[in-house]
Amino acid sequence: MSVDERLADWLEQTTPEPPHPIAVADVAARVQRRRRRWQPLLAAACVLLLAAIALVVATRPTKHDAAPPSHRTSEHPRPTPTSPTPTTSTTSAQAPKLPIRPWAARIKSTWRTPGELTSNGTSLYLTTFTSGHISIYRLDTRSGYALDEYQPRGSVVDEVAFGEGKVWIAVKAKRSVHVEGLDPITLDSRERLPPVPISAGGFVSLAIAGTRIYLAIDDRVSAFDTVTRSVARVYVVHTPHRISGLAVRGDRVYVGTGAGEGSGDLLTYDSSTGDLLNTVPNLGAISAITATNGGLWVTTSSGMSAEVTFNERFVQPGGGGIEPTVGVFGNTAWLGGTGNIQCADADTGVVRARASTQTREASEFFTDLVVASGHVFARTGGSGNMYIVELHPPAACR
Amino acid sequence: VREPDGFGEFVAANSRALLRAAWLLTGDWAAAEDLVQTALAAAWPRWTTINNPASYVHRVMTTTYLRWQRRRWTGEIATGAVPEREAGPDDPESRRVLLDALATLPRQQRAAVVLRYFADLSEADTAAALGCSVGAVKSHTSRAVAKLRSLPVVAALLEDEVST
Repeated sequence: MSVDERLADWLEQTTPEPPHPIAVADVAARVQRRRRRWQPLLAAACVLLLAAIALVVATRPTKHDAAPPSHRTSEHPRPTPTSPTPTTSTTSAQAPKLPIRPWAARIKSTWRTPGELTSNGTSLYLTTFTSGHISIYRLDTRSGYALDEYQPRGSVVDEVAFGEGKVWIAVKAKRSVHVEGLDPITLDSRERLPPVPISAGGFVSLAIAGTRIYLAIDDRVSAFDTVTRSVARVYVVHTPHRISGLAVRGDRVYVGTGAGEGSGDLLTYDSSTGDLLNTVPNLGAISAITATNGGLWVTTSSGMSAEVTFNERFVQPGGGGIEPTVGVFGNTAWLGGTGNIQCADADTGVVRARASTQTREASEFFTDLVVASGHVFARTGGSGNMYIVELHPPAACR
Repeated sequence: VREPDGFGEFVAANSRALLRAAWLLTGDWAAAEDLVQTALAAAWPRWTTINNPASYVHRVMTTTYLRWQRRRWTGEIATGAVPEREAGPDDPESRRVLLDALATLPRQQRAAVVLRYFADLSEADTAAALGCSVGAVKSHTSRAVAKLRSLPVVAALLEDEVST
């Protein structure tokens, strides 16, 4: 038996049976959603074509024409920026309903593309990624729809960070990653830092502290000075795993590893000297770290299960392929996940309030809990749609 | 939307194999189901013009998988139900070893291994699915196999299979 045959045998014998087969009805529903996405565009194109024809006919000079029609010279108001991606308005008669409404969740907007929700405390941002097109939107906190959009020239916006009055995004283009600084209101690209090479399948993590932007890729963390726009320091992380999580607080740089590898370590570096101060091995595959005055919120995963810990104490579960998330705004940590959502003291990890997202049939997920202009938002999903929802948590959370 | 002729039969006959291949790529049933549904939905409108549906669906699955990056959102959620446990022979340890081993491979190599050794696609079909040359497929697979054999636990498993 050759090595190839043995490998084929091993794959065949070890791969488990699927929990259930694919339902043709589910595929049909996706096809229908795709078609519906194009219908408004086709309709708009038809309207534009008819309007153009009508304009040509109306403006064709005739012997009766004495003066140009005045209405064509009037100024049009600035078009309202809209996104092609959101689909239905929550105010329409066909507004979707959530199977469960923790903290009186109310759908603000519906999207057909997957994405991530972030906030700088004031504005709400959504990063979407589908079919190779990556966009970042600034959302209206009242309607949940897009006010502005930026589509970088790259294949991936992997991380978003806020600081120095800008929205910073990591953009992957071919074999390198660069960081762009965007205007937080218009999303115009204002600044671009030098690119850093990335290996195939490498992860990208971004963090900001003061005038330093930290970009972690593969086995090193590059610290950029936003004043000189150059690399101020590089930390080489000696670990068998690739870096997959990053946080900076004060003079400490926290590096997590192991996402996609099943196991990882948590390493602490001195930001000024680059010295390795501490290593916590085998914490699980670390995919995100958030540092507060009181300690570290760490998201780890293994297979389909995932969890959030605070100083290595379990706080929040995940599940169903959705990782739990932590968003720290003020002194409150907002925990999203599958099964429940929570708010906790950001510095002690003590849970202040909790709401179940469990229905009789399934655990719904509510993740990316963020605060923007005093309102709490999250994203959830179902039947292929992603919903941006506003939550109304109890006063204990504030 | 009207279901194309033969589509349902194809899904019924290939759903298990496609899902298992997708699981090998993603290591996760929710993502695997999303991947297969995405590929089937792409094939739906072109169904009557596709000569080799299995090859086409594998190609879409692979290109979609290669596009996916580490994200907290792993794609569309196919159903409201989260599988409580996996069906089939219950051997979580060997599955973990398998997924850990595959996770050491770059995405192209992982896809090449799954397509060649699990889905049993030819080198030409694998090249079409990966969007590369046949020579590159050979390079991907040989590097992947070498990498897997360098892992002691995998090497031991493969040796065990020889001795049994």
